Amino acid sequence: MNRYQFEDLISSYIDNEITLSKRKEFERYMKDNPDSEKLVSAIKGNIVKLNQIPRFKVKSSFNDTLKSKIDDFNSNPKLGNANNLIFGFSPLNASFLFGLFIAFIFISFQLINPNFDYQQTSESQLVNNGLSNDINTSRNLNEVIDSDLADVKEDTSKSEINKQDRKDLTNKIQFVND
Amino acid sequence: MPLDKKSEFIFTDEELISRFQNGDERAYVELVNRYKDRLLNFVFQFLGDIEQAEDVVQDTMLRLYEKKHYYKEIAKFSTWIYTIARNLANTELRKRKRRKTTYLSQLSKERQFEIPAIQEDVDQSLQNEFINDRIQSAINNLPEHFKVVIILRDIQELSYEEISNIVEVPLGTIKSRINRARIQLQAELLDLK
Repeated sequence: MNRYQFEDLISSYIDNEITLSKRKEFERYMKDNPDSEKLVSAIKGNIVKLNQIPRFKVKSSFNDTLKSKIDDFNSNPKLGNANNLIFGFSPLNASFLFGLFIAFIFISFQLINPNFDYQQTSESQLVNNGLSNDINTSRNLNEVIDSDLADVKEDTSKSEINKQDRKDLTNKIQFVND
Repeated sequence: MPLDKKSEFIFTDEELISRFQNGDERAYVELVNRYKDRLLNFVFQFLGDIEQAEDVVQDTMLRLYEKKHYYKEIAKFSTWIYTIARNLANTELRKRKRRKTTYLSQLSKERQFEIPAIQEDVDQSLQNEFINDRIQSAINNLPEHFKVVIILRDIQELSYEEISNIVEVPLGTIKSRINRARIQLQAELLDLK
């Protein structure tokens, strides 16, 4: 055992928290080194002196003063009630943590779905709302279809006329070889 | 079953705080009586002023009353209340540094001391007073982390586990720190026999 190991074990020896083998080794070291025995003896004496430091007592009016402070606390409603705890947190702290939680969920959703287009969603919602409004007007669904069909027929007839014109034109146009 | 005066003393601190949390204010009074003197001596070691120390102990007991539901039976009650007292003492020390004022210890006529049963002669009592002053001065000269553990172990006589929980440092570190603190204290008191 060296000096450092000996000093590390002083408190354990004094508090009787040392194994038997270590105790023997410790006491052998003390026997071989008288100054170390004096050190241990001095530390033991200091502990006794510390235990004998005069102990103060509180004033006789301590409990009365405390009671008046407690009465002030109980009569002041602004101080609140310690029973209002939400999962161990005060209401203010609980609402702050809840806000942080919501912000965390929102940011996580943004990170997971970066392509999510809020504008498209809102526009599609507007279109849907417009469609539903149309359906809810006085025109019934059949009228809508009929008018659309009429439009289609008109377009078809126009395209046929255009085709005939094209045929006529082809007789008139001759491609010239270079 | 009513809690009569005699039976209050058989409850542990943890049982008393549990009763207090359920609305029994007599349990609170018992806790105050058990801890007021101990906390006074503990806080005095940090502040050096007995009047201020008593104010801090008052605040500690008031905090105990206000925040009784904050105590959970994970740690011992003594750990909890000592931690509150220590935090309030540190707050007072910080305020004192900002104010840059020096407080002198004042002995109030109302204050009582624990007096030994056997009356000592004048020389012996003077010598004891000198020794106590020297020890107090040596403790104050220790680094803060040594001072705290010496006070809690050798003056307040708390266990290593309680000290570890109050100081929030591992048990092995506490044992090592106490050992080093005792050796350093002895170095400060070399001239004292």
